[in-house]
Amino acid sequence: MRNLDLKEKLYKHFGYRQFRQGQEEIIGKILEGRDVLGILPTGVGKSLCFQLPALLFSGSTVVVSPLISLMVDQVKQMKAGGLKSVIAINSFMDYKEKRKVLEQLDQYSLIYLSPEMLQNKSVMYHLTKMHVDLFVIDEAHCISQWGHEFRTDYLKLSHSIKQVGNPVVLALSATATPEVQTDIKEQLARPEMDAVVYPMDKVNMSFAIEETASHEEKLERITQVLSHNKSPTMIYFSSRMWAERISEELKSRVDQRIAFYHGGMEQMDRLLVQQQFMNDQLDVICCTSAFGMGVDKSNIRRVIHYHFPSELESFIQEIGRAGRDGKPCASLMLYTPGDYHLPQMFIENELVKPEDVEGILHSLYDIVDSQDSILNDEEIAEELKLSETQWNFIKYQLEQEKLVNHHPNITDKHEWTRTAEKIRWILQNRWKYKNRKLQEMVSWLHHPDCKRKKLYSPFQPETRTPEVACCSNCGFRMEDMKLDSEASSVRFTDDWRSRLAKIFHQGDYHATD
Amino acid sequence: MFLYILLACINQMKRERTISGIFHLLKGKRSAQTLQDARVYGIDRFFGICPSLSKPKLAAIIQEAADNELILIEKDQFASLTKDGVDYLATYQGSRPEYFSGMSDAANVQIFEGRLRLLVQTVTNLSVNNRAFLPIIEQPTIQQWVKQHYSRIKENMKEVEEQLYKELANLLGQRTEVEAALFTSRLTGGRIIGETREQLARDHNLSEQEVDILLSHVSYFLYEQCRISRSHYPAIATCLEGLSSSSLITHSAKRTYQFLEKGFTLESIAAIRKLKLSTIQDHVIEAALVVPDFSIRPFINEEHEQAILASASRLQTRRLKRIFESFQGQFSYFELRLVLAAAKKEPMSYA
Repeated sequence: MRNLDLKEKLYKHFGYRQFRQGQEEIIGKILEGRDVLGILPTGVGKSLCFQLPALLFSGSTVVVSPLISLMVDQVKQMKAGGLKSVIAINSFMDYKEKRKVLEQLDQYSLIYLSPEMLQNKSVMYHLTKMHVDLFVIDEAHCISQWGHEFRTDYLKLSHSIKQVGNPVVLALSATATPEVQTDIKEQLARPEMDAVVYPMDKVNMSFAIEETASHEEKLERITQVLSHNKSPTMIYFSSRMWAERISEELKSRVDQRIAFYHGGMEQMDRLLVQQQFMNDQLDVICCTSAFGMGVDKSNIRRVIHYHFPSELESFIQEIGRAGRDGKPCASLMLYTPGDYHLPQMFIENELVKPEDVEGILHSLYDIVDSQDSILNDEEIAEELKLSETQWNFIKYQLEQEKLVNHHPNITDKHEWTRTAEKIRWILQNRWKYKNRKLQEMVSWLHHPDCKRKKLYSPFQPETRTPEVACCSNCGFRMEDMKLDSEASSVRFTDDWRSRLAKIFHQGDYHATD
Repeated sequence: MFLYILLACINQMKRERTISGIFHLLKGKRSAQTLQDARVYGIDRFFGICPSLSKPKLAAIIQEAADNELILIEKDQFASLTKDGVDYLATYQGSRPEYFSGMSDAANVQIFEGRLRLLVQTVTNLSVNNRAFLPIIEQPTIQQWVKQHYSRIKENMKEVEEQLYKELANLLGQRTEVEAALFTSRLTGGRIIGETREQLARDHNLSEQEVDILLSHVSYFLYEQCRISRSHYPAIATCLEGLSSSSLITHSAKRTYQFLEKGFTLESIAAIRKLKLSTIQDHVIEAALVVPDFSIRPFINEEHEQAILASASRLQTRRLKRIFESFQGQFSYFELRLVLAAAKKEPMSYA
């Protein structure tokens, strides 16, 4: 297809006149039938790279995405934009709904699935019956052991790709080091993939890293920064508890609309907070990493980290939500020496300690041996006192050794001992790796030279000259941040009658405004 | 209002049920035990009116009530009212929970409310040609209903918008100021995104649980009013479409009921449906609780029924164990539960 025609389609279906960085190159290759590994920074419209081809192909496009919320958001946005033949199949669907969707699966041009759903037999059955033109792996770094969100389900993808008839493969990620890129190609068994890599350094963002002596000082610093000027701001926390607590504190100190957001909230309240923020009804959102995926708000000016994440990759992803409109934005990282144990705790929650493996396998053997009923994953994890991620890891390893086939298989105790040894070895490597990543994060906090150059150095050889002040080591202070005007959230404080009238566009509310 | 309802439940349960029983009732657990409790203690209208209640939240509220000496909690989690608690109910001045009808309507009200919220959001966005809004309700069945309904009204969006507004303004005007304000602030439409319960609680200086129950009460009120006089509120009443006023709560119980009507025995239904006999018995209890005119005669004769009822009233209890013991095992638990389930509701008294 000629470039001109592509642009026409772009305008017709998405309303844009121009492609953004990287999109045209990737789409061009896909349409030529080439496999592509696309590394594009967050916020440049990665999803368009498969949404547009999906509309041009006669068959279907399958998109594997790790986050249900992300898929659902994309589907909603596409439907809101008038594209109807899109579906996200997830485990929240009720049985009837799912059956209905599966029966007419070939009618959809774009099908979003979680990696777990792809392992579902009836889903795979329907996929093999139809024509799949393009197979997309979103957040492809999840496939790599060295990626920051490794998911064992992703390792089964190369097999699934074969099952659906070896269509063109597009793997997308925003944060993949060269090491991870090579791993993605290997795991997908497509070493010949074209890598399309774009620089991820944000030229419109300034970086400030500040050490504080205590939490109280952090809170004061945030209060100062927020009071300095009103502007859409996200504050990241390591846990729900902290997000709620600090949001409470800030409400009493700063006269702005502030709310918290985390995965433990009731569904409708979660949607409301998210939409309030997008609709400029909130100035500040205190959140965990659960917020942000798929939130397309272009005018976020500040991302503050109350706690630092366990890897640079997560950090880059989180600051990527700011300044999507291209205007100046800033990242403020606050840390106290006491913070170092937090990421350590996450790693522990994610990975079993190597020295515990033998005991765990022993208990698992006993549990399965002594019970006549079959336990589900949740129950086993609880019995073994493991987190979900921890159990998934162990289970995957046992599956690899054929000791578990849906349920643990108890034939050969000797095998189990040998396997424990093997898993221990794998875990040791994972621990070393995770600690190395954490070390990388911490050493960035203490890096004495340009923070920007250091931050992006694992991902790209050079950084561009920023359009704004560079970083705190190059002389930037949060107070220097230039903001066009005070963007302030809208407040609705009328009595209920005028508010109701406003919602329904009834004219007589001006009287009480 | 939440405290009032909580105390009323404790009062009715006469120290025969634990706090966890109240939790399941308010949350709307569809178990035979919960349904039966709701019915025999005459608090079935509160069944399922707080679907988002959590155990720790309820525990905190109960603790507070205990600290304020309104209730007494024994070691085994059985609660009863103190004198102050009884006085609280007797002298309660706040708005009364008049409109709840949880047992018969909880499922319908939830759908009705979802439809209404999404309909308001849809109409007020499309009336000004804004097609790019993210639906505030995610249940596919509700979205589907609104979509279908939209295709019927799209020609006269402006009229529908005005009509919805008039009806809501009229109906909310019949509620207390705070209920009307909470409902309106939670509503998403036009350029305004609704508020979370946490925000509402802060703005109105209420607890989140109080916000929750008041919002729920408005929904029941709207549902009830539209059902009684559809013609007065035609725009909102469309959200009642296809919601049957029928009865049997779980789908599975409904199937068992259909077999029963065809004359199958409990044992053969269990065999056909590959379910445990006790499960089938639970279904029968469920049917006795919610199907009007359900006859328990195939399972127990009148003489036995009267004996059981007499014992329950003599012992002044609804606790099965004590009734069971009074007959020294003559009747099974199933028979006792069935009789109690089918027994007429006692009139509810709060003081």
